[in-house]
Amino acid sequence: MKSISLSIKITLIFVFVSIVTMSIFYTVFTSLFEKYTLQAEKEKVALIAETIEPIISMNYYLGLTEDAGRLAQRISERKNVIGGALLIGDELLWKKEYDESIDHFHVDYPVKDPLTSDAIGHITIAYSMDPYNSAVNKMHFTLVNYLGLLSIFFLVFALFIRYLLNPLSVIANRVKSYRLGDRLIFEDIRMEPETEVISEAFLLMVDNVREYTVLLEQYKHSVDESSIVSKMDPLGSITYVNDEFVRVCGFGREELLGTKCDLLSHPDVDKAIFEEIWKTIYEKNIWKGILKNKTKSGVDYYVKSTIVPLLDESSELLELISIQHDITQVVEQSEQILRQTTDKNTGLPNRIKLSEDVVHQSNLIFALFSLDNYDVIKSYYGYEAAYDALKKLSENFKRVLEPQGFQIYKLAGGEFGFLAKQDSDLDWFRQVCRFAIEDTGNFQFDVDGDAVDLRASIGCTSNKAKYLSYSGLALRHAMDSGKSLVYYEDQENLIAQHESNLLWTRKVKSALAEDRITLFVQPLVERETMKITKYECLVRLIDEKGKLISPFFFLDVAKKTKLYHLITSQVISISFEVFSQIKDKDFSINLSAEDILHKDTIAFLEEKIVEYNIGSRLILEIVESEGIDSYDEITAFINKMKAFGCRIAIDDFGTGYSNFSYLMQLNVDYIKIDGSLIKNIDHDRNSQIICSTILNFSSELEMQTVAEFVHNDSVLEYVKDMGFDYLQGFHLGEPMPIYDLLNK
Amino acid sequence: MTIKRFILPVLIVMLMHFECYAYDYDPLLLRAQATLFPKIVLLDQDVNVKIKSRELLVLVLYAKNDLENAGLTKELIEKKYKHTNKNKMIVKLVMYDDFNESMNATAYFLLKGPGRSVEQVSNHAQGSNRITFSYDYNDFESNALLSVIMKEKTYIYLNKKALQDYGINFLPLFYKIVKVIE
Repeated sequence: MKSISLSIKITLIFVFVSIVTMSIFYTVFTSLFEKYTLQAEKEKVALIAETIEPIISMNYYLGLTEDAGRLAQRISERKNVIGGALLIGDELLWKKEYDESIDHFHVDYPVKDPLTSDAIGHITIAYSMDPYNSAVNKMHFTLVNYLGLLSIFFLVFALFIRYLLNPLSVIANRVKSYRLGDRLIFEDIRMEPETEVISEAFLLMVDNVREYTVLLEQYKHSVDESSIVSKMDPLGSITYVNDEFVRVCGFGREELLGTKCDLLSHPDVDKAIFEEIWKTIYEKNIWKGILKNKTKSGVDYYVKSTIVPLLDESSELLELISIQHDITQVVEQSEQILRQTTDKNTGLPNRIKLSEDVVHQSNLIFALFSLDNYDVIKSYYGYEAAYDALKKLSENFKRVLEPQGFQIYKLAGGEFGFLAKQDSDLDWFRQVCRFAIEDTGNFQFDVDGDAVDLRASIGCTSNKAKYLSYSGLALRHAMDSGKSLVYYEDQENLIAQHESNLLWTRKVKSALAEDRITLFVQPLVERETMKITKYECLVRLIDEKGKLISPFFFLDVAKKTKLYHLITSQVISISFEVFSQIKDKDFSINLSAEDILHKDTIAFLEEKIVEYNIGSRLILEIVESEGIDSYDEITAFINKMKAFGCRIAIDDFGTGYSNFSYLMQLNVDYIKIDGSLIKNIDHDRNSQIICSTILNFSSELEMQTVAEFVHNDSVLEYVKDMGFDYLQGFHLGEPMPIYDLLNK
Repeated sequence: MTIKRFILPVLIVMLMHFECYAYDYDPLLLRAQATLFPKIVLLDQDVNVKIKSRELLVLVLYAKNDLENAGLTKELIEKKYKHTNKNKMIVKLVMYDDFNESMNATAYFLLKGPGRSVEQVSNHAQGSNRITFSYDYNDFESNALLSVIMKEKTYIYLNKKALQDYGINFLPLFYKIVKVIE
């Protein structure tokens, strides 16, 4: 069928359709023609009978039966009437015998009474089929002639079609013999508009094919350059490998071709993976995955593979193409990342992983779990016991919390993070957290036979941006307030405090940047002479509007940030600069425990003391109320400062928990009694007893005393009488800008 | 004188002959006419209007001395009519001389008679749209309407001239078998 030309096919189809159409037409037409021709013949005969019947009946009515018979006789004289009869009543008025073998038909027509129209007899006419047969034969003859003419027309049509389609076969032959790089020419072919379109389409197609071939070559080149490419037959034998494949696996091309593709498979790889690959391929699907291979020299490497089954036109598997990328480095990095994001002790993801996971949470609920007595366990039972406690606790969390959809993270020290699954209910989350605390409380942890109680607190937040800060604040609040769980967003004061802290942090930062940290000085009066001999430097912040801000508002906030040490440095710089110009006055600056323990601050202080040679006039006031955990470090600091000639004062004495024995260890020069003891000393008996005791003690230790908060004459007189060495307070001199001293 | 002497007696004899002897009738023709007459009467489409009390009255007009033929005619008519119609046919014999304008009938059968008498009856019948059937088709000259003659076959004659005046409405088929005489 394929070898038959299009022109013949078109002609044959046309002939076939025409024959079918003509056959149907012929059958229907001849059938209708024969039917209606016969019907017409019968009607013709009936018409004869109908014409003559009334006269016959009238004649018969009038008794003219002979006339009736004669009339009937006249019918038989008509051409093609071969016989008949006229029977009225029992009277056969006319009859003509005929040969039954002659092809004929009968028509019976009733004879009716002219008056009553009742049938009284009938005329039978036997009519020859000759006219009918003649008409049918003529019709057949005409149709056969017509079909003969049609056949000739088909022949001419076929030749014409062949002539019209000839350029197509020429075009087809040229396209068939076309080779990439040849020039395809159709200009010499006779063109009809349609052929022209086809030739243009072919030229365009050839251009496209050329373009796509170049592109494909480039793609192939790109893939070969960037990927490890191999091809296999359906049985898995390698039929092609690119240079990159050879380079990565270390085998020679000849060694690879014809061998099975599992040559490179690593023995660690589960056979089920290969079964899955072949199952996928035989189902004519693409397999994608990561495979672990080994090179010829036995080195492991990982490839990200895409194995594509190539199918022929009948969708039968022709060959396989495997495109791989060496991801060994990525896999190793992933493993490293996994190590970095996992806590070694507990096997839980760590804070790095938490921060990654939080990014993907749209509605975050986070809990910071803290083992309250972790430090105690660590210091009392040792690190191993503490780690063991954390490990067992983490296993308990995995068992209890993970089924609830919690993601558990091991954070610093004795802290864990709980991340609720997406769109969890907050109340339910808190309920589970409380259960975790309760469960931790019930947790039995033995160290060397000792049962250790574990206590825990949790701080929760829903703030994604500051989940660690807020949960930390909430946790601290929980621990401070003795609550087991605090939800940050429930604690309005906590929020306000946090916001206030942020505000003051920003203010301090900008003040430092814009040089708006300044010093005020308050005079200390020598009791005996009632003359100002010393000044205490007091730090102040000037806000954006020029208003002075007391350290009460910003110093505690600053202590929680690195800004505090910058403030201290600023105090040192300003005071040293000013008092280096006022030679006859001593001055003091305040140092907190944070300052003393901050190496950079102390180094800066030492550097400035040396720079200004001002140690002999400098008094360092250490605030007693802040508490000193390690007196060793304070003692070392004091000794170091005394070596520079500095003197030491304990500020706000009477408010902290230090006692006289510690004072003895510290070797201080001045004790500044806290204002709360001085404020009502003129009439408060308790203040009087405490101050009297301190004075006696100081006297014994040869320490000088300073009475703070001298705010009226009565207090002034009283403290003078008690024997304080120095007096300080608004009544004696309000704080003033340090630079005013230079103008005096 | 001689001619007068001979012609006159002949004319007298002839006249007397006419007066004294009946007309000659062809018995076969008379029989055929008597047979056809009642059937032709019934071919008048308005015949029912012309029948009173379900009686179809036929007057047979005859000339003096023709009673026998008239009787034969009556007999034949009555005999043929028996099986032709539901109405009763009354056939009465009336001599031409006795006929007067009050003698109305459904149809009139005219035997041979004087032309004047035949015309009188015919005119009367024409005036009342009644059929007149004459034994002698020559009576068409006297305004008779129908007649039958027998030659090689039987012909029914119709007086075309009188037909319109008579106003008879025959079945259309009737006109196809009659021979119309101008």
